[in-house]
Amino acid sequence: MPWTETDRPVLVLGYGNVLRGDDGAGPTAAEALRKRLPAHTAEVLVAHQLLPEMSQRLSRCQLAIFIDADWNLPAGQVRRKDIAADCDGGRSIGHQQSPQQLLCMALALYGHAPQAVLFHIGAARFGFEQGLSQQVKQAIPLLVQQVVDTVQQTADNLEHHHA
Amino acid sequence: MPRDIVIDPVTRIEGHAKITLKMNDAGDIADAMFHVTQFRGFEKFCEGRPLTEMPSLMARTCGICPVSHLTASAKACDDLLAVKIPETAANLRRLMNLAQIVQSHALSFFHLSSPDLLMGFDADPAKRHIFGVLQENPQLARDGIRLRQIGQTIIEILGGKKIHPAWAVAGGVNKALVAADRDKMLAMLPEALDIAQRTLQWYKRVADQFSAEARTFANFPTLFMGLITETGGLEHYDGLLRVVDSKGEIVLDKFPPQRYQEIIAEAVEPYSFMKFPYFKEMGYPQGIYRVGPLARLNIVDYCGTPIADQEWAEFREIQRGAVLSSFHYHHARLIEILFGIEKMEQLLKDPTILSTKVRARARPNRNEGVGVAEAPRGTLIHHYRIDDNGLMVWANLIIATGHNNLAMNRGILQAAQHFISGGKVSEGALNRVEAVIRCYDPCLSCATHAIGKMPMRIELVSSAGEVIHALDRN
Repeated sequence: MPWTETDRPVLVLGYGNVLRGDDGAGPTAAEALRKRLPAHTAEVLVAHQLLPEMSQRLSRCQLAIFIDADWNLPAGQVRRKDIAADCDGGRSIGHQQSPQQLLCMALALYGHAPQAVLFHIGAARFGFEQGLSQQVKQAIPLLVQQVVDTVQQTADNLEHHHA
Repeated sequence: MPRDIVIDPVTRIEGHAKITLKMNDAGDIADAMFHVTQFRGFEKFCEGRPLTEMPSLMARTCGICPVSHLTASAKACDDLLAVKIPETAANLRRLMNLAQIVQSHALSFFHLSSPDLLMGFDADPAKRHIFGVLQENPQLARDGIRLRQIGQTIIEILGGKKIHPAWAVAGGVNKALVAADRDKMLAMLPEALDIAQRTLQWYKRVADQFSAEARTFANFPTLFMGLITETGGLEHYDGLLRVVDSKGEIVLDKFPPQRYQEIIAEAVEPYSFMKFPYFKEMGYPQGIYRVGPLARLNIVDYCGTPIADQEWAEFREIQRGAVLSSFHYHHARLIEILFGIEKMEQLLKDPTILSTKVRARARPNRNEGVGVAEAPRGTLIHHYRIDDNGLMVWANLIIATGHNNLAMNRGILQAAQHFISGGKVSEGALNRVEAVIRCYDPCLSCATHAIGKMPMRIELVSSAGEVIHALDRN
């Protein structure tokens, strides 16, 4: 699949349901990153969930950053994890994927899976409500800064590589 | 000793369900039940809301087929306003409904059912899923993703977003189509048509390997129901109800869908949250009927687009009379994808599609309204009552998947009795029982929208498997 002029090297995917409290942490962080990251470097997508259709776009970037809420982490805690393609389908019914499955699709179907980082943010509330809990709200700037640093680091490496 | 086999959860379907198979002393299957175990409440919590909110609210019934609910709900609201909406508005709604059918059928065929067709029903379950497909046949997987993406993109162009677009409103749609957007949609359709034709040819090549499944996957006489055009063509947005029997003979023709209660009633069973609609004239449970792609192709006299018509004629050669086996839902689904793409092209090439007259405005003029459309899975009925201020006082939804409930239950019994005997149960046999359900592509989020009338059974079971207490609510 040829790369195009419009493909930017970094893809940020913040996902979750903004109508379910802290599950909206991913979209909230992504919206904040839209203002922080240079538009020519990063494309920011906000989604309810990860969809198979995203795999093609994923195959065209060099760094993918996924941001999701995690109820297993203490509220407000941010965890960074490097991830890779995983083709275990598990019980996926096909219209919703994990980041690792999406990377697998990108690699198997379109020939390239980018370097990928998954940021989890510990969440407290998943009820029927809009807005984040105080702990999560306070942690969003920290998460955003970590993503910006990661993107910057990758951009530097790419520049160094091309030079 | 009699025992039960429970398949829980049923996989590769939309929603949550389980199947219980009851064995007799000889180890053969004596009975089978499809339990829909999730619980929702749309009919109740819409009460008190203004009718103008209904299309957007009811679209939330489902994330897979929100457009179907949006469409049926908007039509029910048109009825409450007592307006005939502008023709362009009707065609725009028709267009979005077809895009929805294309993307939903693509999800069902490529993502949920193709693993069985590509790798076989006895394949290792660790590989029998969409990720197995992308390793075995990447082109098929790419085609599935792309076709679904095209359908979703058309919905997004028309309605502003892929899921839950608030675009169809009481009296029409809230935005006219502009030429640039029309051209974007038209540009995608040739690729979609290529994919649909390629996939149908692939399916016809592999389908012969599944003759045992075609013979036993809900292969029995029932009625079939759906909407048709005035002249008996395939219709998904509007039209009149037709019912045919297993011989393909018309039982009821050109029946106004607004009068559905004269022909359909609903029963309840203690083991499922999904209701059991039946054809009133034949009683319960004899009044079993099927809806959806198989039913639609069984009831029509033609499709109405060139390629789909050729494929439909070949499809009807499978069997004299109606095509009875639910295995052929897959085939019918692919023909409907073809039809949807061709029909969308026809609609988009009609210059009137760009008319800016897309909404009739009126106050509520009736206290009761019914909207009926064909969803991907079959006939969808929204029936509302409002007070004189336009506030909802009552709603009844009959969902496509619900219509098929009796047939799904009888279908899993037939498959289980064929593939399980003498107490020997293989994983492949259980997969086939599940696959009967998958043929219908049930959407259980939609089917369990209701609240308040459903029976419930709570069983307290000892560690030895004995039911020590049961509580029924009827």
